[in-house]
Amino acid sequence: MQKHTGVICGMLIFLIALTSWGDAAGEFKVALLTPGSISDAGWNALAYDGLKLIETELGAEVSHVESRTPSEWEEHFRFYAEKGFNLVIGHGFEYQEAAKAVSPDFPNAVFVTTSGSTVLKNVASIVFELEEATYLLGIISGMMTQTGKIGLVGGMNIPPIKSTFLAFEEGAKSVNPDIKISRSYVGDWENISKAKELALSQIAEGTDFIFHNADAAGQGVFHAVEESRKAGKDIYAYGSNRNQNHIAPDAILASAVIDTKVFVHVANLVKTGKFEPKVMLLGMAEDEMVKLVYNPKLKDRVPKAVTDKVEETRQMILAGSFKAPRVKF
Amino acid sequence: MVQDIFEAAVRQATPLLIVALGEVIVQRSGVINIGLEGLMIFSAFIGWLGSYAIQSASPALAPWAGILFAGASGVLLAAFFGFFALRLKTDQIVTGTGINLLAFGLVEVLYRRIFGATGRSLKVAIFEPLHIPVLSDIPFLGGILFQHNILVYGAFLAVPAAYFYLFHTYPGLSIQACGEHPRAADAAGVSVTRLQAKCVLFGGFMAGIAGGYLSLVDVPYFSPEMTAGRGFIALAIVVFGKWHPVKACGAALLFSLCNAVLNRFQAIPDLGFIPYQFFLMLPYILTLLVLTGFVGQAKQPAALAVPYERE
Repeated sequence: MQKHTGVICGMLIFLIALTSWGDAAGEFKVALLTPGSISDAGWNALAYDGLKLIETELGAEVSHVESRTPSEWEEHFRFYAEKGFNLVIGHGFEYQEAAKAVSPDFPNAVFVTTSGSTVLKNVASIVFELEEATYLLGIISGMMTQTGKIGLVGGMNIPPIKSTFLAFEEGAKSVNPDIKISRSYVGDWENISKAKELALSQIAEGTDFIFHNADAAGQGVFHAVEESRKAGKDIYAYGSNRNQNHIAPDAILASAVIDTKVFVHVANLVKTGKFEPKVMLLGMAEDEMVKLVYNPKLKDRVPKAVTDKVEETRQMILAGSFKAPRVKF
Repeated sequence: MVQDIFEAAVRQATPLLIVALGEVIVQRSGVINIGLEGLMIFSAFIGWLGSYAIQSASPALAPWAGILFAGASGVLLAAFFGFFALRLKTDQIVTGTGINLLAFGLVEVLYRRIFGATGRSLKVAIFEPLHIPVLSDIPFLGGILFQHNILVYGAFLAVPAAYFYLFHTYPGLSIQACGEHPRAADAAGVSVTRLQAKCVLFGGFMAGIAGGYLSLVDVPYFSPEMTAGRGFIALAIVVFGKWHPVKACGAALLFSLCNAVLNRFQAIPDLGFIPYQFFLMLPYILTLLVLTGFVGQAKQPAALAVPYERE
């Protein structure tokens, strides 16, 4: 027994030693908290790519942790702030409360949530205006649909998803007021098979354009659309958050993309002392932080009238004369 | 419309059925392996990896190699479980939980190690549907039953086979004896622990095939949490199916049919006012209601989860 106690003590000391790594001051340090696995090739992967870009472009020391439950959120914010991290990014609107709770204790650290509206002295949020791109996808769908039915497949009905879906729907209705829109939700972000089944159900209902915002599960939508195309149906899917066109090049018409340089942009503000606590709206007009990317392989399927209409709307967004609808959260 | 829904039900029931059939045999032998979720995700990954590795050499063979890898990795992890549960007589529930945690951690680490942290949505060669000649041309039923994948046919043929094996053969009855009264089985000359070990390995093989079904039949993609609770649903199916292959098949089909119907309802624009959570919840409630209403009380094998020690 005594021998075991020694081993356990040794392990504890080792663990404690581990946690005190990276205490050296002076370096610019950025941490990222993601609500899910970064291998989702979507929302979380986007942020991790951004973090890696911060590392290479700004020479920052970076760290990442998966922070899934409300009890972990605050703990992880606190952990990084105590370690002297200059910027801690909570990747999602759900991190707002935790950022708010922790921020008074660490006036020298900056806490940023991606999406959300909480602003304090050292708390800010970046809001990707992905809605601008999904509005354009809505226009494409509304003009191109042959069945008059289009579909949406989401992970869960949380505000960021609701918001991109709203813009998609409004975009479609702006060119096709009678269009019917299906909305299906997987219930999580990982169940690829379920997303596939939901997409197949929508296709069976006559849907011919499907936009997903379901992270990893969204791959199931691509597969359903590919299979249906093989079976001779004229159906297209869209990618979301990252440029997903390459995943199913025969099925994805275009992607609504957030550029990873968003993260570098924000980190640079903090690094150079230009950070101001506010809701930073970053969209197409801000150096194309958000954009619509056609799949080059399928671009010729889109009639000129459609691309013209999309370009016209894009110019209005860039000029500031048109705002894509979004849900406030 | 009805045909589509039934077809989807059969498609979704298959992985649940495969893993549940294995677990019926395992639990009949007196062992409970709740690590099914872990076995499935591990083998979904290894199977997918197998197909990925071989597809450039031979796309036709790749899914077969993948499914073999999947089955083998299920057996491997089940052997790990068996070593602890049967050799060292650890608590089976705790060991099964450990297997789940281990598998998910292992898969995430390996996946990131091999494919980079952020995932690449790589596609592998998967099984193509195998339309059975003549039968698949039967109107209505042909589409529902005979235009699927080879694994689907295999899974449903395994149901009567498992039934016959368990209830009408000597080894099957010995398995049941191990689960009901291991001491009596021992006295009758059955090597209890060895037989249980065989059952655990078989259960691991089935869970492996079910995991492979997800990433080699259902979709060509892999995500480190794609099993999404199917291993646990299969455990419930075993209980609802009263540890009986045919009834477990019924439970799996019923659950999947509810799912298929409600997936379809979600897709109807005019039903958009109903909260989606309702559609996601209903299959569980309906299955629960139907099975508690019609199936009646279930009695588990008397010596389930009790490690057997010879005196």
